[in-house]
Amino acid sequence: MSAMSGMSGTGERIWIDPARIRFRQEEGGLLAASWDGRNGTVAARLLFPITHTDSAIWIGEPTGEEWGVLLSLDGMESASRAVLEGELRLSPYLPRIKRITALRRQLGQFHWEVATDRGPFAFQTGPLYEAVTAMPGGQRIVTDACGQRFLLPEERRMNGRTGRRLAKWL
Amino acid sequence: MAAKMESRLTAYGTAARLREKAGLTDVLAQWSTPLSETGVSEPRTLVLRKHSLDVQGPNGELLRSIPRSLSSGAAVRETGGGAWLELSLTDGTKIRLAMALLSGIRELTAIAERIGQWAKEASDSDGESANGSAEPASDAGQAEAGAARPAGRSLRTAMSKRLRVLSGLLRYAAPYRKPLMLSGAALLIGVGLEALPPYLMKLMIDGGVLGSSQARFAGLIGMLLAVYVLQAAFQVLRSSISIRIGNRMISRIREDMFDKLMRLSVRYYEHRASAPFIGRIQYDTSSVQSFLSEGLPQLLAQLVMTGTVFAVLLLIDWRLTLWVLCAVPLCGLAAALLWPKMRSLMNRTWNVQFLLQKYIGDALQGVRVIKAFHREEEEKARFGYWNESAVARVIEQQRWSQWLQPGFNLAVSGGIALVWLVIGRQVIRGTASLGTLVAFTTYLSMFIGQLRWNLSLVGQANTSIASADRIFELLNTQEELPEPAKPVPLADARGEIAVDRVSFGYEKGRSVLEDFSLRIRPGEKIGITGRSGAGKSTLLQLLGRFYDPDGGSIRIDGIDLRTLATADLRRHIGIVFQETFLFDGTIAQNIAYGRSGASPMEIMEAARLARAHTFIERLPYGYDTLVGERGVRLSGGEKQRIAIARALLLNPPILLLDEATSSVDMETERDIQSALETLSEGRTTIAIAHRLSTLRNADRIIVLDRGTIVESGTHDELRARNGLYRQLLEAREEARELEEAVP
Ligand SMILES: Nc1ncnc2c1ncn2[C@@H]1O[C@H](COP(=O)(O)OP(=O)(O)OP(=O)(O)O)[C@@H](O)[C@H]1O
Ligand SMILES: [Mg+2]
Repeated sequence: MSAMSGMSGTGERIWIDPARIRFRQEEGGLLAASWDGRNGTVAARLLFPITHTDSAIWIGEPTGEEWGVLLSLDGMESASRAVLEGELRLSPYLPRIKRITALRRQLGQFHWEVATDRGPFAFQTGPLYEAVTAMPGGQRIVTDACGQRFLLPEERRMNGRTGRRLAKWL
Repeated sequence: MAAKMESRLTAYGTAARLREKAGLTDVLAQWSTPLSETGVSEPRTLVLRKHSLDVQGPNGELLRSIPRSLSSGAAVRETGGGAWLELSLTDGTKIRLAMALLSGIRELTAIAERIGQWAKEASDSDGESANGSAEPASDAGQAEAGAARPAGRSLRTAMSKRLRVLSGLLRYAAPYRKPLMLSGAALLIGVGLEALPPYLMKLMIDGGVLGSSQARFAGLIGMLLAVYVLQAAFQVLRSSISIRIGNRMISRIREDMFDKLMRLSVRYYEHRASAPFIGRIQYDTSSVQSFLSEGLPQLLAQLVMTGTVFAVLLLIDWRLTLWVLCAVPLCGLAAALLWPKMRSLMNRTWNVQFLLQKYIGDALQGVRVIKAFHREEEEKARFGYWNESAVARVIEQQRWSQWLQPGFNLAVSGGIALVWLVIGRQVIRGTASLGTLVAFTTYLSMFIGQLRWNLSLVGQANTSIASADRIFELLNTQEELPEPAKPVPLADARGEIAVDRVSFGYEKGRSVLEDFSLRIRPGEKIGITGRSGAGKSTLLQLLGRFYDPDGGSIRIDGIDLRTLATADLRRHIGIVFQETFLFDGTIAQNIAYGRSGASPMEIMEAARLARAHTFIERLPYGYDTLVGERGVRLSGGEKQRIAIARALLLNPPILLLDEATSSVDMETERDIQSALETLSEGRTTIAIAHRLSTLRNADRIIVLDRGTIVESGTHDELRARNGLYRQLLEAREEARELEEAVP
């Protein structure tokens, strides 16, 4: 750790204590926070949006200036936590597939209909060997023809029918 | 405050609704998106009216209405995977109005601009703007129509696609029409000959053996032998034709595939591993070939054969034949049920093999890093994993097909036993001859044998069709950088470059260059610097038309790059990339890469200008030294100098250098610089460098930051100013001082 910090040019990384930061939602739907004497609209981003969805959360000004990084959500006051989690589901916007309701192939093009945590989506992808990318930890990313991404959880986390639909092609 | 605002908004919303009911439409623009402002898949429509901005829900219900007098501006906020429309109010509040998916960002940007204008006009004068054109509205309408189209069309396109695959294959066969017809004729005769022996046997048994006429018996045997010889001859003829044609055709398909790979844009490869293409060119084509040259003729032969045998069976005993026929639909049904399973198994096998190839390719390219970090064992384990999964899939596939053959054999034996039973009784009763029994059972087993063959051929055919599918998938890939139909000729470029309001991002929703403009006079020397990731290389990539800008235009001598033939463009531009790539070949080959006819003199001169000659000429094999894959046998600086020589040999009016001398020591760099200066008289040069001394003599230095120009001027001007350049310079100087301080 100390060897690493010696390497960074702009000083130490600031870690935010989850117990001391408060989040709230502004009337217009934006995320605001107050921490360490600062207060106002903030941007929040998951730094490992696929592999670690509840740690390493970057907090900063909407313009890009960093406040610090939240290493975990443990100890955060529950209302704050709910608001933050709501915001994190938007950025990056990556719907998590819960069920595949249909997967059809028409010569090279795959037509997907899925139920996600953000509601139903229908999209098209090219051949599956190109459209589905394995991520560390067993999850997969499906990229559709427009570049839109969806998260496909591990095989065992999905129901049998979804598994079978996938297994037919993948 | 929030509550007060809310009530104001709602009150206004009611008013708007009332006006709508009254039929007063004052819609300026409209935009629909499939996502709500919280990212839930629920349609929203933004309606921009003269005095308000309305947000409507899925059924057109009004969710929110914001009066124009309260609005001050609109912005698009990109997040990975989508973007929001953010409206600012006069009191500084910001509202997230709606969210677009990546595919909708373009329209979102258009409507945001429109709303921004609308809000600004309100604050400026509150004046007339109704004739501000409802352009975005029609845009949105078009987009909706576009989204609706694919669904209705998909069935038709699927059909036509399948036809296209077939006709595509036939197109490759067209040049060989004559030999193919000959092969077909040989096939028909061969089938006729094959159908003959059992009938001769029947004659032999009934008239020869039983009739005990020696001469006739010998004659029949002779005929039988002759038939076998002819049969063999025709088979040889047929297969020799098909081997030749099949391989020719495949070589043509491979050529077309490679041709296509060369034409596809760099962006196509950014998203794909390169190793599996080797497999696709090799195995997919050979699988198509084996089908075209062996499978297809055989399938035809078997079909003809099946028909013939069936006719003969009917002739011998039609009632029994009809009985036998009842079994055929059963077999067909079984095949129809099994086929989809087989197809999916084949797909699964192929997919894993694809991943295995991809893995091997990646590991081999990174072999130095693997060794440096001592990860051989882990990589072996990863290989083992992919290999195991590939094997498991093959086993799965073969386990399924193993049931097919025995099952079929069982059916055949059952059928024959049945025939023996029925005709045997007739023979005993005297209503049929022994010859009939023998012929019938022989034909029957032939018939069923054919069916079995057909079944396996159909399997093979399907593998090949899957391969053909992938081949045509590649061949029909849409090219992102289409060649213009009627390219504007560019005879001798003077080297004037105009970049006009260009915006560009490699991925949707993440722009790298934003509203970028730059004018370069012919012969001007431009230096570009800026922080890492600022977009410097990206600009060069756009100038070389490796990508097309998302907005704006780039012109050389007043001609838009998109209207130029790529070959014409590249002839006028010499590029040295930031990452040097050399081909596996000799140094001379690599230097002369852009001009195959270059003489040794020219190669040596280019090498001298790039200051590569000293090290090359010291090598035992001189210019004929083999550099290895990607030039691995050379040092970083040596590779760079060869790349510079390669660009110089082209003698282009425009020279683009991306960190071309970054790995070369300072002294050599200065040397190359002076050589370049004498050489670049009247040549437009754009050089990117972090080492600012490299740029000192440029006519103009441009400092990029986050995709925009933050400063421009000569070295001295920029140094005098207190900007980013000065900052970068000071950082450099600091580094130098540090170096000097170290004893
Ligand atoms: N092929 C690519 N696909 C996606 N993003 C890319 C690609 N190439 C570059 N980028 C991104 O575009 C931005 C600009 O990259 P660019 O290569 O132009 O930077 P640069 O100014 O040349 O930096 P450097 O000085 O390090 O060479 C970077 O943020 C980079 O991450
Ligand atoms: Mg670069």
